[in-house]
Amino acid sequence: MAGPRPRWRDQLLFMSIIVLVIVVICLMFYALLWEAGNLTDLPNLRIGFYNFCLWNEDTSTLQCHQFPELEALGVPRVGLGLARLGVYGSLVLTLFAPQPLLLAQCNSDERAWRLAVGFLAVSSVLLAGGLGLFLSYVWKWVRLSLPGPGFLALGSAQALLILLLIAMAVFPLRAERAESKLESC
Amino acid sequence: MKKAEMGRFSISPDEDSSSYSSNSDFNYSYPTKQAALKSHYADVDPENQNFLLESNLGKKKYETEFHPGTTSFGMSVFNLSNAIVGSGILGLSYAMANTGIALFIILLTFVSIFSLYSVHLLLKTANEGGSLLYEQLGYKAFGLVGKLAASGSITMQNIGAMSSYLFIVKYELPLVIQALTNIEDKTGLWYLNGNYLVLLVSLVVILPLSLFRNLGYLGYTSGLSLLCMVFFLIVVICKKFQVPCPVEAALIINETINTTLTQPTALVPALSHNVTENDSCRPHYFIFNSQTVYAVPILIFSFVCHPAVLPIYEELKDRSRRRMMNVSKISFFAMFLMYLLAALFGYLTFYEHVESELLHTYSSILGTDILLLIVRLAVLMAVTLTVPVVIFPIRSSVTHLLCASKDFSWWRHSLITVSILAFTNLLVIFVPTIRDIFGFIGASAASMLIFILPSAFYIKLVKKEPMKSVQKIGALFFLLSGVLVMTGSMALIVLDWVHNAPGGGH
Repeated sequence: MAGPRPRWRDQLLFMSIIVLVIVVICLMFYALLWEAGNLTDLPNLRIGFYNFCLWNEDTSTLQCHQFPELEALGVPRVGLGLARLGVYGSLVLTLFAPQPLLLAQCNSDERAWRLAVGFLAVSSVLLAGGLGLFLSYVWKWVRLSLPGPGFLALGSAQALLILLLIAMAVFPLRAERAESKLESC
Repeated sequence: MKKAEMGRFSISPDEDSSSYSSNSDFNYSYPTKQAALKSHYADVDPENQNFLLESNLGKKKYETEFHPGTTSFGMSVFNLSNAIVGSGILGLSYAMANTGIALFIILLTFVSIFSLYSVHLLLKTANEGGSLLYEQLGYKAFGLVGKLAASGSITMQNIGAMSSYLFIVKYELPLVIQALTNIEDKTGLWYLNGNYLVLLVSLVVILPLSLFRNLGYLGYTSGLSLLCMVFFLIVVICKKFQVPCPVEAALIINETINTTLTQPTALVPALSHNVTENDSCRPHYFIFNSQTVYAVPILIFSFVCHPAVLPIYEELKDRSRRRMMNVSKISFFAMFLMYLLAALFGYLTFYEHVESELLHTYSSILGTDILLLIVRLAVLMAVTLTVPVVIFPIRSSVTHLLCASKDFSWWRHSLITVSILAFTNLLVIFVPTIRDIFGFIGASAASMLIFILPSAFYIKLVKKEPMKSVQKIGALFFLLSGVLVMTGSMALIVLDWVHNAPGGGH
């Protein structure tokens, strides 16, 4: 039977999990705030969670569509609302994850750790659901163009969330970690 | 007592008194407001958690079994800060708008110092009285009357906190739905009516979570409110530099922005305009009007954490009164700064246009703002998960008052939970604004918990100091000032209700 892992390795793994969570938060803030939730941002096409602008051949300008027109284009109000709730809700849940993570590490509290895992799992599901739902409505326009930085950031955040969940699953809080609490706590 | 014997207790010899009751004397950590305190007893069946205990009342000092604390200094600071911070922060800008910057800072300083002094009295009384439960101290000081006064004040404060959280749901959820679905016209739509939404959230989310017998994971979720309010504070500071003044001009700018959201309004720079900066864009330092009476109760409401102080003290590692006072000083100073910044930047954004709930004020100016949508979602999630935590001590208190000797019954448990939630929902639907909750609870229950009860318990229980000592005279003055604040605030608030029946501020 293998002995317990060295303390420094536990600390390193925990720190990398925290860093990953912060990276995910930064990516999501970049995509949803800085990029205004735009998945594609080209001179002739701008599609995002709060923008829906298509190229108008007649006027040779980018024409932005509001809601009655969007429903005619096949983007339902409720569907878009749910997609937005998914991605922005995912950001909120990810924002809440570091606190129980730190509490778990400081107090060797397995339940706080599980809560953090729960937050990140729900966040991952919401992000995938919201992004998937939105793409299902706008795919016919988005597929013709290159994915924008916002889309890449959200995709990376989704991938990192899955990676985080795997890392946290193989890093359960053990009773012997009680001795290796962070000094700062 | 010999020094060796003193070593058994985690108290420094310089402490003037040091006594603790047995574990059974304080086996519940109050999640007052929204403090999810890390306790050894988090999973004890809440119906058996003795909120209104009468055991061990006759025990002398040091006769009890000692329970060493395990929570570090930093974690205790976090727990206490979490117990202090709450929905009150949303009403502070309104308080500043009706007192002026200078008067507000003076009042904030006084209330925070008085709250800290109150904690000092409470810790001294707990050491002397031999109990780490608020109601227990009440019982030891004044018998059943004292216990009921403490229990009633805590319950009332918790109901006030719950109501304020549900008010936030009532105000903010319609705005979130509007932002998510781009609904412009909101006339007659039931799903944009705050009253319907608060009932829906109460039935679908809060009630099922409140029916649990154990706090479980909910104990942790209420800790999110501190993080949430820090995030809110950052956004308030950022928005100060983006919302132009006068506010009326912002409405025109908002129209322009909303036509094409090419970039999020969260990042739109403060747009210049030709409107002359009139008096409404100049900060005032001293203001006196009919709404000024709400300032002190709002501040008092914002600083209540006293029922949580004793459980935090009990859990503190290397426990001593001096160490706990250091925890309190750091927590109170941090919250003082946080409250000051939130109030100041909120006021400097909207000046006299501030509503009684700051977050709601942004909606009329910025419309669909992505950053504010995120803040609203965070606040809504935090308060929705906190309401069930606040229901726990209320329900246990009611259970022990009405049927302490009876065995646990799901019917009774459910009935009490539904009754508490129904009563709070009725308050939220029929009380005009959140300001009235802040004002009334701040002037009554919060004043009792901060001013009146700690000083009364101290005067009665701390026997080793004569009545003519400086400490006792100080406590007596504190008690009298509490009575004065309570009666004065209540009288002025009731007068304001009578004269301004429709209810302003929102």
